Amino acid sequence: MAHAHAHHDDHDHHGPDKGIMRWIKTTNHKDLGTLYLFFAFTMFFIGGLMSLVIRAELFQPGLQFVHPEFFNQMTTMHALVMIFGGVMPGFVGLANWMVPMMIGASDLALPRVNNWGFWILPFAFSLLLSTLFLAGGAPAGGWTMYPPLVLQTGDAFPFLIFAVHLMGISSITGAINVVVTILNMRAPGMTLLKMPLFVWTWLITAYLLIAVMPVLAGAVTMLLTDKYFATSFFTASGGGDPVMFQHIFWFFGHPEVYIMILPAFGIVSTIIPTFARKRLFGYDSMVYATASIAFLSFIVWAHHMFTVGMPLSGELFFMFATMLIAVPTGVKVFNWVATMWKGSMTFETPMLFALAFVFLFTIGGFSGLMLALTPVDFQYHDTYFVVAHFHYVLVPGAVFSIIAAVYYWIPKWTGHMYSEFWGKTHFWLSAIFINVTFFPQHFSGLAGMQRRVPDYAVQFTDLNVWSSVGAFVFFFAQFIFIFNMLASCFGWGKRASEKLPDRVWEGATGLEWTVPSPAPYHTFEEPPTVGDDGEPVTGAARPAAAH
Amino acid sequence: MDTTFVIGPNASLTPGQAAVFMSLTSVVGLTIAFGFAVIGFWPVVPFAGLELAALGAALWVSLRRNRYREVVRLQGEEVVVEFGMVGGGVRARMSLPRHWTRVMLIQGGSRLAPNRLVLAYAAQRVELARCLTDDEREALAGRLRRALTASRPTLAGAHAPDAG
Repeated sequence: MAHAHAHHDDHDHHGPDKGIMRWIKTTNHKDLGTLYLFFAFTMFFIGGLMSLVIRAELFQPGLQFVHPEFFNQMTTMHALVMIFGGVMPGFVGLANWMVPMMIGASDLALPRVNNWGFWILPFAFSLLLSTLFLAGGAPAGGWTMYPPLVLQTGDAFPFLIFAVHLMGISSITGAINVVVTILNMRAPGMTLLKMPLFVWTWLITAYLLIAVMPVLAGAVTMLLTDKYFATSFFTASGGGDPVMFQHIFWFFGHPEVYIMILPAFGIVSTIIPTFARKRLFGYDSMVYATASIAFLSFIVWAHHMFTVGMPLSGELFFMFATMLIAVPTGVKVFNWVATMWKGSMTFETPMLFALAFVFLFTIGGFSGLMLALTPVDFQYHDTYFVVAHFHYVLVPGAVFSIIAAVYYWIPKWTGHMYSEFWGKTHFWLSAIFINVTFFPQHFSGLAGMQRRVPDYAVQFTDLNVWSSVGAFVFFFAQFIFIFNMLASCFGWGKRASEKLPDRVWEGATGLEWTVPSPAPYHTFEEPPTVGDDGEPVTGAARPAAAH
Repeated sequence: MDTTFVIGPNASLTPGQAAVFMSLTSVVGLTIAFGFAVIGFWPVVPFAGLELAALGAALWVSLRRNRYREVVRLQGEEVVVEFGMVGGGVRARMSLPRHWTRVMLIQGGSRLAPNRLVLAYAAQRVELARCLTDDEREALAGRLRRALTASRPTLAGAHAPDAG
């Protein structure tokens, strides 16, 4: 449109409904992004409490607080809640908020489906969490749901399967929406290789979700029929093969691992150039590296099951394929460092979290490379070394990137700047104590401490004391983040009264910084035009929608 | 002065590109699903089929919206409104007397409901621009009003009232 808001003689400015109905009925991508993020943080809190139960029990050897059965319920539920309730909805919330703004669209392609996809989640997790109060307790066979152990679950079993199905439906609706939006609703001139990295990583993530979610749905359905309909897909007594479940599960599960880290790559690729005040080094290679990682994620699933008994040729193939992932990942880490090289860097809170991501995710990557080596994996398997590895890539990796993204974009969302002092305090407490929590676990794991066991030999005591203290401090440090974000939302504190410009960060680029802060309820009144360098052409008023 | 407004949604995907994308996605998804079916784990197939059907439906809906057009012509003594699809010709057409047509922007039933842009003459109503955002409809309403007002005969020295 050539211009907007010439008159308001017919009605007041449009905005959302008031009260609870606004949130129930909303089809607006910003409202749904906010809902996803609040839901994710609620789940992070619940999953965090479960981790504190685990760490309290492991503070010293012997059984102190909980029964072994309940301990295993906690480890299982902690994983399910954090993965499907925390990390994934957190990234979907960021995609909801930012993808339309970054590509110059007014909303996602299917807004009603978007609403439906979100509101499935509270029901799914109500079902899952209600199992804690059922006869036999919550699922305790691990988040991987391996049979025959998971088939011994009590009344919680069908609840688990149905909850996983609902989570899958929610993920699929979100993925389809993101894919169609990115492909069909980009601003004129925004070709695929001009898209921001966050949009690219989400496009690839959504593709992965579409490819592997049916596998998870099929796997859990077969578990259900094995338990209740006398089939024998995985029941050895009926001719089934329980090891095949592991293959099927990890065919979904390993791409799922990348579903939880690729959007983080996009976030870090957005934040580092902003605070280094340089263009991202090697944009094209970043896109190709992301696509390569996504492709390789399909052919490495069996590295999760080296000890299950595979042919030597299979173990060699999966070992080398897994090691190959280090190449595109190394390209990405190199490009992030090269972007910072000779940049005019400042260290605001989002940049601190992004830097911590690069450093600590790389540590997690290297321990992953160790785990990729089949012979030594026989020692590492099912020890705390594995726990340390995947927590290094998921907490200082995925979770830190979500936190960085919220710090980075919340001034745009709310129009109020957060407190930098409390942001930095939150960062240092988080960065220090996440290492206090998980670094000792490398050593306890190498020394043979098994995961998923509530007791341990006395020689592991000191390392576990460190881990438990770190976990408690890390958990309580997150309240600083919550209050800082609420202060930004509601305009509390000294910096809340600052009038923020459209471009909140000096080095920020991209379409999302061309709309006012806070972003209006409807973002783009006219489709912005993207120039050859991928940046919006200022002053371009291309009458596209009506002319 | 004759004026033409062409109203259509934004679109960055051609049907050919969508077909390529859908084909590639289907090949990947169905290869995985039938691969599992061949070794006896057939329940993956219906889920893959359902999901690809949902993706196809989403692409089809989105592409179908791309082809939608509304053409408003202010020509001579009439306002001609045509609704149709690119490549599908005009599906509906109506004509209103140019100097008696009002532009109305009606707020939705709730604050979340989209507003409605209506061209009105006596009891006749033509709703326009449902494919645009609220803000775009507001801007379009302003431009339509100015175009209609500019063409309206006025008494010497008097200003034409704003329509609507």
